[in-house]
Amino acid sequence: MNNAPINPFIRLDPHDNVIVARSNVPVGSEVAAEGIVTLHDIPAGHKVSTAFLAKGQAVLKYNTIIGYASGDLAPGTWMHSHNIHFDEVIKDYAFTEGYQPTDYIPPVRRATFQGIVRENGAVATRNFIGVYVLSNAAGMVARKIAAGFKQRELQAYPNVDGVVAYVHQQGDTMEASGEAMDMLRRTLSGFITNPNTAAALIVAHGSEINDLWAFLRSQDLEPGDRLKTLVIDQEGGSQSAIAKGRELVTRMLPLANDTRRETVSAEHLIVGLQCGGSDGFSGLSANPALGAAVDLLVRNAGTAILSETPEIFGVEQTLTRRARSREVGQKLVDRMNWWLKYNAGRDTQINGKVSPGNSAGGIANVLEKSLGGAKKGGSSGLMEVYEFAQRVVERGLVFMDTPGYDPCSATGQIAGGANMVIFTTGRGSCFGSTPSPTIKLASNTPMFERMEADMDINCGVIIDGTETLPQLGQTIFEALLRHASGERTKSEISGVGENEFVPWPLAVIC
Amino acid sequence: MNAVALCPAIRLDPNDNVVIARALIPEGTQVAGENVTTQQTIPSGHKLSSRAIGKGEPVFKGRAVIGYASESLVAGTWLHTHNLMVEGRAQAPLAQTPIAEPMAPLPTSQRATFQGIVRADGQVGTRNYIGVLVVGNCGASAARQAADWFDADELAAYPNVDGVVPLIHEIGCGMELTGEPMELLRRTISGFIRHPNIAAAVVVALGCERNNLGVFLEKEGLVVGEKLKTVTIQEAGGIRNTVELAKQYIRDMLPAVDAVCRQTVSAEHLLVAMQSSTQDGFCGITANPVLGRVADLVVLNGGTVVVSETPEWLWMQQRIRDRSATPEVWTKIANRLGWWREHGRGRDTEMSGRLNGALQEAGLSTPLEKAIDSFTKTGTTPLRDAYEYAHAIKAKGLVFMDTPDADAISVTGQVAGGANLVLMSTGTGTSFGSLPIPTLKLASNLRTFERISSDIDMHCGALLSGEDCVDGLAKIVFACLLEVASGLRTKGEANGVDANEYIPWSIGVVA
Repeated sequence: MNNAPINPFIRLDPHDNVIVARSNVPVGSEVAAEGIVTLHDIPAGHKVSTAFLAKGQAVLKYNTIIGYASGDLAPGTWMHSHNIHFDEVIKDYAFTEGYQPTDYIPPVRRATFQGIVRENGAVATRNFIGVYVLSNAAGMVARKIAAGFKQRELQAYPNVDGVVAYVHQQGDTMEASGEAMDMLRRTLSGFITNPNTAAALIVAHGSEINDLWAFLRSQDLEPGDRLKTLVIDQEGGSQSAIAKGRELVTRMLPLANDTRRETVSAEHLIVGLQCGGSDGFSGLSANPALGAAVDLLVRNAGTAILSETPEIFGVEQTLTRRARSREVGQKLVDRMNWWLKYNAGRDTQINGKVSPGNSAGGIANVLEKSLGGAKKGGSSGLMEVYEFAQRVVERGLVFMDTPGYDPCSATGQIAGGANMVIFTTGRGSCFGSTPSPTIKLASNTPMFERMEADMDINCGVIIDGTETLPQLGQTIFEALLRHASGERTKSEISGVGENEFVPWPLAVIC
Repeated sequence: MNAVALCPAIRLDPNDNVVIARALIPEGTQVAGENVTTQQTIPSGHKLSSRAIGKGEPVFKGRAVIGYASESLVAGTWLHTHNLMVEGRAQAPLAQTPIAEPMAPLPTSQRATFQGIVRADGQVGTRNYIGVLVVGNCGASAARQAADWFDADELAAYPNVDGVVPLIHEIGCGMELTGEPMELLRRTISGFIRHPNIAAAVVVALGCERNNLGVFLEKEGLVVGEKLKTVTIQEAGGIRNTVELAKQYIRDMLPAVDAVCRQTVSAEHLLVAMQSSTQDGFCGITANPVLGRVADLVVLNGGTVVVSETPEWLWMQQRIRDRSATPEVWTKIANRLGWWREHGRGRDTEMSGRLNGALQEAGLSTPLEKAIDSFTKTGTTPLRDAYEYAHAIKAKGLVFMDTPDADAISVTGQVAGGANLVLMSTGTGTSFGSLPIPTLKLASNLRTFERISSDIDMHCGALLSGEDCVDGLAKIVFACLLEVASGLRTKGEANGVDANEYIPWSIGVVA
């Protein structure tokens, strides 16, 4: 029974004129359900046309235009970047027209997790000590300070998840003022004040443009029991600075260890949504399943941050429609326009060309990729639009303007207060993030099986037809609560997350 | 005895209208030899006027105009950012002394030598590392975990291997698929893979980066073999398998990498990257002139010196033109200067005329002054060629490579171009290191050296105390450079610097 022939293609919408291959389908295969014969080999995740397409005719997937036929195409044609073209698609922003207030679950019935409640009421899912650098010149010292706290040194502090160095490549020979410096500073202070950071040490070389005192002042940070500073220049060089830094961290350890988890409402979850290495299945399985989980989270009064602005290019109208207000919607449009200008004349995705990996996975162009990617956000109203690394205060589904580049985007979200990250992938990824852990969702079963040590949840069950989207959404939501309560994710077990701290390099480096 | 007899202020030229405080001079001090009384306290390394200077009059230091008085100043006035202005268009004038006739390198038999590692292709290395590189940041954790595995214990059986170094970066995806940003990244990575200090390399990829592994190898003409392996995470089945596979490749490489011996080679195989970092008021009169003399010595011995940090060069156009060996060299540099002018337009950077606070505190008043001070490290020989960032350096003699000022990014480009030694001047101190290439650091003054002696190799205190001269110190530095090239560990290497300073220049958009 289980071996009953299953349609090798998935139809996403009755109106579509393309369908998606579940697995590799050879040329000449008859697809009875569609009444077509494949005219080419169709790789897994790729598309085939189900009707005659005249030149210039719209190609429909999810009943949405993903481009236009480049010539007259017979049914059964492999549809990809070579024969799907797209120019400007006319957009109707329809601000607020589709906005629905959230149907909240009453507080007493809301889901809960075991969180760490900080003094200011913010709730943590992890408990790290961070060693931050104001500029790359302090990188070596910061790394060596953190390297002094391995499992053995932390044995007496079981509640401390680790001491992590956050090294980046900016902070000197860049703009002394303006958005690039403001952004770097709010990224660093956003991490320092993220609830998952129990205590922090800031390391400066002493001569950087990102001056220590100016940094502290601009971010309203005050050194104290849980925030220490160290200037290498004033310590007599790197070796004594490393020793002093380790001493400062050691002093903060008992304080950081003095925490306990308690039952708190899921409303304290702020989840960064990410996708990386998408394939033709991502938009069918992992992304909509994550969207279903986000809808649950939002109904439980939690917060989800959708980002990667260049990767929603072409479908921003689906978000502006759901915007809480015209102002919120307009902010998104403004950011998109900034991106178009920023990328003018560059060979980047927003100008049409997706990564080689995306393309090999069956994604024809940016529009198709965006369409799939935006499904992560679910269907709730869009409550606010934030700039990169800005503190997220609104509840519900919000948007943060970030590049599509995963490490950089997640860095902005965590700086904004995200205490968890969920990441969908089709091609596979070993992404991780600290101090807020990443849960990874695989879009297809073969990849999940190939990379099981990196993947937390298999969303390929949707493609395999063994589970439904609402079921899988529930599974993801429950996993989120478990991991938020302390259960380690695959990337945490593999020790990944430190190298993925990448403040957006918007600066002019001179 | 010596110290007492020294004038508290250093005069660089009889015609200058400023002199430099050798150490802090209190207000109201009669400055011996200059016949002026200080009107304010003059911090160490800062300038004071040696005569009255009228409003708008040029201020001369070492014969060069470093700015204009913004008000009328009496003799003995502290000269700094508050009363010294520079216009955006100000330029260092032509060198006052004509360029020396290009000197012929020493005959081969008379050249200095060092103990180098001669590679199969004839390149000469100064160190012997295995590199673990990434095409994009998505491979970073795997690469670092694989490289970190090979600690001193793991390498104990391979005494000739200096280490396994992770060369990871923040870009490679979410960027331009084609064009200069991607080409620059690719030639930087391949420059390290081909570098004579990298005996063998493993490249880690996730598999779906915009900087696609296969395209990268093909474009850069790299061939996978015993000395170059690749691992793709998506094919290997995740990070754990990737790390294990990379470790296995490295284990297999170790015996062959260990089987090297140093041999006597001519100093013509030196390719020295000149850098100045965290400058102060003394660098321009001590450390940088010493570097300049060393540059001349390297060139005299048939070697190559690469100078960079283009934003500073914006202030030095006339001198650069004067120093260019051919009009073609000047045109190449001028094109890059034009690019930088556009790049920095409207941004609050040093190019727009503002020095950062630390530099001001250390006695530098204007970007022009900093550029003039810094330029002395180029020595006196003609600029033989000019290269864009991370291009392989082929010419002998003094050459230019276009890079930002930022130390780590600049050195990364120079090393990708083939530099096998870095010589760095510093005023206020730096813990910079640059695996897989040794960095020899020279402090402009004794105080900085004593303050952070664990990070700095040498100092110019003897110049400020009058116990030695530029030529004398340069000979010592050059001799030390040969020893470092032969394997002597620098302070940074002894401290165990790692490769945080490997930063390919990101000139594209992050999308």
